[in-house]
Amino acid sequence: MPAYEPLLEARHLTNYYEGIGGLFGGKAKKALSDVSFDIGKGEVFGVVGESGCGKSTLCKAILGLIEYEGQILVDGELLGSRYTKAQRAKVQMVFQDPNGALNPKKRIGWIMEEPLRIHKLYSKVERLKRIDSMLELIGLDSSYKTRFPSELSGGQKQRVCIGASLMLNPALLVADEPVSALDVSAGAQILNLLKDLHQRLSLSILLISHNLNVVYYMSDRIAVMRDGQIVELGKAEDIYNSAKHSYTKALLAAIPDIAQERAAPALGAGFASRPEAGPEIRAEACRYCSLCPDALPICASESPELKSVGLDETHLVRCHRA
Amino acid sequence: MSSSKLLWASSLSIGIDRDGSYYPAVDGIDFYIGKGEILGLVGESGCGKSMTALAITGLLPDGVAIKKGSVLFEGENLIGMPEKEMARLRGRAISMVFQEPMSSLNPLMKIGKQVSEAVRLHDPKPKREAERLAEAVLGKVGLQNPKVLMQCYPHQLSGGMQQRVMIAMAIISNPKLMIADEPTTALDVTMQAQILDLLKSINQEYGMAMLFISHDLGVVSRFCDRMAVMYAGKIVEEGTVSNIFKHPVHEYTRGLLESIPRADSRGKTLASVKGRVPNIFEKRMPCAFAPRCQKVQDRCLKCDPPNIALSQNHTARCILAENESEINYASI
Repeated sequence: MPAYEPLLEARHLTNYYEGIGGLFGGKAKKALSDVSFDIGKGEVFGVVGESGCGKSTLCKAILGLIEYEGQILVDGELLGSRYTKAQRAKVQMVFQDPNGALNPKKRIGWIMEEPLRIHKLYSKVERLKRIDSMLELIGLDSSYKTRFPSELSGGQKQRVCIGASLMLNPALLVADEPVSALDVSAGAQILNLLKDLHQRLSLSILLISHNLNVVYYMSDRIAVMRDGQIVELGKAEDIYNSAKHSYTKALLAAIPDIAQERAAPALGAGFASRPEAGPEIRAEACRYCSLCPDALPICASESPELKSVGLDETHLVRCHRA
Repeated sequence: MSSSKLLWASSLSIGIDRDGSYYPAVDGIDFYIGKGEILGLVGESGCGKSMTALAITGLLPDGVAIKKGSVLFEGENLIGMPEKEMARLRGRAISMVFQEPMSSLNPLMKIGKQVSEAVRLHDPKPKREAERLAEAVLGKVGLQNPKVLMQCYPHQLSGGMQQRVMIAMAIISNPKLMIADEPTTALDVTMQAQILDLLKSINQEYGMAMLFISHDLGVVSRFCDRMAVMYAGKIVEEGTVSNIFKHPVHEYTRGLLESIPRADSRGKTLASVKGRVPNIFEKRMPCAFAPRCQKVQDRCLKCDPPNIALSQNHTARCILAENESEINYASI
């Protein structure tokens, strides 16, 4: 294994949303609170969590689409409040719904050329050549250049989205739920493609998903997020096979796995009363304590820190019990 | 046996007539749902799952018509039933829950009014009484503070809460059959787990049968009693969930099962079904799956695959199923 070299370092990312007058009163909501992690070169880093846990906010922050407190470094270079063009080219994005991500009135060739046009790279001939080789790389062929998005299936559209995001040779690809809008078989093909590109181009990928199985399949390391915090972070095997945080355990139990026996416990255990109607939790308490089956008295009065368990310091858990 | 069948569809065909030609979306399918049973209908998008559900409730979009076949619901044929009678059954005896809760709820109407309206439509009760019932049912589907909730508009609720409201509306008239079309696809895993638990408890408590449409085989394996796999308008494999998951016979079912990332698939390439579902205007092979099948043979391109019974509770529409000897499910 090559020496670990960080490509992206995120330090103490914090982001607030304005309070919105909702059903249960409005106040400023911390979408991200003190999120720190790094992604190594050529690493696939997975982030899992329920909707509203801050996954997508994290991904917007990394892309520089929203303002945040804290620092993000790519290749050791600090990204400012407005990214330069060169910085933008380094981090590219694949969205969840390929139907919404492609301009329906433009041909695939035009769509894939757009990043090069914006960054004023190469001559027209050279661009076309690069589009052809990219189409081949993503498992399509050059005849697709003249087609419109509506002529493609969902899986093919997602391939085009991935191809377009790779036109600028980014170092990091941010994929926000890349397969959740696709059928299982198309989703499997996209996961295979991402894995293949990761190996061939030694591309780093930040994979965001609510499906722990998908993240486990793809990732080297996994961060579990809840309520804007990382509650557990570690090697994929450690998270999947020896989860320490009870929230991670509940997430794992919620996956309806075909390998499981039907007599397994109810899927919803551990989420019985979601915070949507939960009691007011004291600010200094562990944010999971009202749902945690193993809560200690200290959990209600003191917020736990992210600390390492095990010997090699790769497995971090935010829990008093750890 | 027939007395325990709640819904029985036979040789149901649904299609589009366009420019003098007929294009089938659903091509002569047979299935039944027993009383209190949960039948899962699985397949990729474009396989005709939703069309089947819409045909049962008489809600097919314009231009799509039922070509032939019958759907018996408690002995009454739903096909060709006058709209007035259909409207009487719909919501009361057969109810539906759709994928997108937000687009099924009226954004301009308070939750309380929408839910009590569902009662009053079939049962002319005083408004007060309907509201009391609505409040009770909202509590039953696991929503806290139903009184406050009744005064809310749909946009003030989370996706999971909206889906619970939809389920409340669907069960409020105590239907015998609920058709759930991808009810958890728009939700994330944890919310999905809760909604499935809720549906299961309703199924057990009221003995309400369900037609559960999904493309997630993981969900189907945990939730359904029997399942039917659809491909290009035909049911290609049908049987009890435990039989099919222990011993899938049709290559399509196998492909679907292998495309799901599982705990043991890490580090391997996911086997996926190559290609895509033919759209309904394309000409199909006798076996529509042949172009994507890894074990395709000459015979597949010439004659219709027979529907072969592998056991009492397991059939597959594939010529290769002929070679399957008596399956001993217990030993697998």
